Amino acid sequence: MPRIQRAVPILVLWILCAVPAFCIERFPPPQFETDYTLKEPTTPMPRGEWLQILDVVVLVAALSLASWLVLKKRSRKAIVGLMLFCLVYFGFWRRGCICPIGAIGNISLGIFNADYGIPWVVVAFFFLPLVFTLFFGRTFCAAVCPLGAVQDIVLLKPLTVPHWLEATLRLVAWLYLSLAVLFAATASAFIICRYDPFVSFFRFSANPAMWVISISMLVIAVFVGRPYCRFLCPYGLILRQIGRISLFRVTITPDECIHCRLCEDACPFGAIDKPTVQWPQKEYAKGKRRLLLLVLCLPIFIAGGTLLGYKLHPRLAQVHPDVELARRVRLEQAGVYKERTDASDAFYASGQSQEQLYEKAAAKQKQFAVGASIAGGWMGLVAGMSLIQYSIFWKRHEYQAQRSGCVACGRCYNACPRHYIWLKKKKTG
Amino acid sequence: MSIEIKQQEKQSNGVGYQSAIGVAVVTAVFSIFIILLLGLNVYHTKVTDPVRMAELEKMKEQAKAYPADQILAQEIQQLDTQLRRDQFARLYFLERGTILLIVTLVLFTGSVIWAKSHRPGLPRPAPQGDLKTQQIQHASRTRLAFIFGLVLLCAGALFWIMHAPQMPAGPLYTSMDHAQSQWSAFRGPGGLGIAEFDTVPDTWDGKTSETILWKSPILLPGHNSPVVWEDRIFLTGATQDKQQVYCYDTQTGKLLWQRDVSIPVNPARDDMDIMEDTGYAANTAVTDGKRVCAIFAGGDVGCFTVEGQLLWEKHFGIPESMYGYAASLTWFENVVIIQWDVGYEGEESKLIALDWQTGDTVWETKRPVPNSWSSPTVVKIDGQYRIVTTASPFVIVYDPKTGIELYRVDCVYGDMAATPIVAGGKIFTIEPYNKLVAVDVDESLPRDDEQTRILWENDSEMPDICSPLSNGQYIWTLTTPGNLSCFDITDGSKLYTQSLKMTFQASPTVVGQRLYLLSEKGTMLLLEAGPEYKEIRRNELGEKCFASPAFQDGRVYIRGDENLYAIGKSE
Repeated sequence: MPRIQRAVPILVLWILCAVPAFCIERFPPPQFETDYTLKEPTTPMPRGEWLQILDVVVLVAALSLASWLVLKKRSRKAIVGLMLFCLVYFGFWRRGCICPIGAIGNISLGIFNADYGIPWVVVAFFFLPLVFTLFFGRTFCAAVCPLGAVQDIVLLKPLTVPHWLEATLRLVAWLYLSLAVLFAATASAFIICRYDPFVSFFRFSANPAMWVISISMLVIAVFVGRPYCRFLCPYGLILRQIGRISLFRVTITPDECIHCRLCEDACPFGAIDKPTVQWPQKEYAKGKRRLLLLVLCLPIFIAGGTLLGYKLHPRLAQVHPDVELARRVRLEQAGVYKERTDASDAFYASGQSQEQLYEKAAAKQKQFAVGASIAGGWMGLVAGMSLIQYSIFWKRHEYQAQRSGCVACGRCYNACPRHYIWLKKKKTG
Repeated sequence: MSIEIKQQEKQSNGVGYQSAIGVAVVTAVFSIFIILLLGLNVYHTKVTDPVRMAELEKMKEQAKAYPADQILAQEIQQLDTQLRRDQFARLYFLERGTILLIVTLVLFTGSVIWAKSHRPGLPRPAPQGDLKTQQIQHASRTRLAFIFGLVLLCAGALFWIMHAPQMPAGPLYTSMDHAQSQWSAFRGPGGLGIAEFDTVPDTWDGKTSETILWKSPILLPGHNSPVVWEDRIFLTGATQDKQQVYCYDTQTGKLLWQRDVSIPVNPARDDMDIMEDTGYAANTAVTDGKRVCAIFAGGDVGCFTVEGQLLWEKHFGIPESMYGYAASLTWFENVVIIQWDVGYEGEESKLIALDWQTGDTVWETKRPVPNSWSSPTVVKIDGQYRIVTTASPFVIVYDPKTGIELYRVDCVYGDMAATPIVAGGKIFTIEPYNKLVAVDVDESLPRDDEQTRILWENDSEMPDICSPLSNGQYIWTLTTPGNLSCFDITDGSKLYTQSLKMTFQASPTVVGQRLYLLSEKGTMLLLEAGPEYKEIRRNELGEKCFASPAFQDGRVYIRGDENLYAIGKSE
């Protein structure tokens, strides 16, 4: 209570700073009024070539600096500083575009559609973080990604997400990635960009539904560490897999683990693995049989996923505007819909024949049949491999930051007493 | 002691402390940034704008001295507008900036308070317990939860599959481009009487059945022509008490189905003016390959699927028509089009578009014409489909999508029965007995000067029933008593007139380089489609014919007085 009492005068003082700003004399009503309201674009305007080069240069510099701060400097404060800079630059100034996460859509479209030329800056934004992750771990997530930064900043009261829940929820991210690639490859939609939950803040504009999603995600991020990064981010998934084989990686301790257990709860993202003990022989043998069974079942998982994907393709295909328009026109013609939409009005006015529309829709559906089957098979593979992963006994002798799950935020450094000794040694030379 | 432990536990949350510090730093920086901007805003308001205001006042003074100086007035207006714009922008920024500032300051203060009360202490790890059991349980829980999640995901997918909407297998309505290869309405595509097929039989004999594939009886009389879509032929028949639609198989001639179109009880039906030559079923039906629609002299319309299932009926009431209502139907994409030219004052006539599937009126356009017997045609002109109609005294062209009249030409008078045609960028229409008129189709021509559209007229003996025919180079007209005339399409000059010494009611057809003329007696004359009269051969059917024949690749379908004939070589 006394603290609050002390804080009130400070708050009042700060607020008073803004009062003089009100002392502007009012102007008489304007004489030249029109009804026209100038619309503002909701997406960032195209940028000049040099600005694009600047973006890539900033990205490389930020990735290099982040890698150095994470692996060499081991400074959480410096990482936060860089994170704030990247939040301002890539988030608020660049308004969240282009970002490597959304670039998945462009890359997928470019690979499967010869008519689409991927801008070089998109290619650079997509591949540079992957390359850095291959060498230095997920330093992009640590300090460069503006989406990660927003969530990191608002994390006030982190709750521990049990491992079983985290593992299960990650399926959603895999599904999201599969769908994002499928929709982009079929030139249907860039769902990652469309449903980016934080871009609303960067652009100060979104439709009401997106505002609800954005604010909900932000509220969740207050209690759950980086929920988007862990359970949704498709790019994060790719980085996770590359992070497994990265050349260098974050270590909690700069030299040796003394098993003090002080770092056990230091990570709000559940990315610290505890040391393991030898399993009982009986349980070990059971685990081996389970593992063998799961490996044998892997083709069934893939086949089941493929079948499910194929069966889902008519639904998924509706995301494509042509397929949806064909359905709409058909139902309008059948009298199910009495009123036309803007899209169907435009179609009728275009003079295009219904045959052409249905042919286009059918061709797109065929693409979806193939794409959805592949995506389904892929999901089956992921599910099978995940189960195999959760059935393997991993030997660990010390507390470790996960190769895949660690976002290199640097929070665990300060929990390690060896880190302080290392710092002291460094200071004293 | 317990308070101390509680305090320590409360302070042990290092992440919360770090986050609070982070928020405090960000909000402080942001607040300073906003304050700077607000300060800049105030500076502009207090320093820059007064200077510009003074300048504006000075200019206004100048303007009073030179009131005629337009440039100065314009400059004043521009500066004044700019000043106001800036002022409002600053006010906007001020309001939003202040709100933002207050919010960030509150956040800053809150986060400072939070950080102070949550300063982290050393973590106190809980006792570890049995690690082996924990590991086994941990892995087991993860697998179970994952499988549960997987099952949930699959169940969701299955539910979604079960509720997936049926995707369209094909269009509900047929496009006009697709219809070009079919004989779907009176006189085929565009009502032009042109059969663009590679092989059409040119020799047959009804007596010996040479080249006659089959012959099927028609149950009720009618002068309407057969229409054909792939493997089905449709035609109608009617008497005063009964009206029917027939569907035949093109391969076997088997009557696949016959359906009645109901006749509402109406005493006026007994007093209908129906000439014997017209009959109750002179109107040719239409099909789009999915449905068939027919209209009869009593104004009754019936629409069926090609399998014979009734879709809808509509009854317009007994039409006031001097010789009996005889206009054939036509169609465009999703609508069946009826030229309902009735009455004598030109107040009841209209062009009606009914939805193929439901029979609902899609659009309706009034027509300033009295009763006529001519049929509407839907034809492509300059890349756009148009409805071309004729009735005394107008040729009127409509947009088939909306029914909006595009232009009209006052050029023909009398009892119009011949259907207009479009060839070589011109509409050709006939004034019965008197003249052939060529009308310009250019839609950019002024609407109010109708006469500029008339390209040429040729006063000559003209038919009263048979429609004209053109191959794009010449135009032929055929009168009921059998006088065939040929004109040059460019200037309307007559090239020849030949008396054929037989009577005709069926409109002629051009097939490749040949004209097919079907006489009332059932004689099909094959002539060369050239500037000179040259007869190639005559084929006798041996049965009276009033309806125009229908064509298909390798086939001619002729409706005789009592039978339907399919002519062609057996496959």
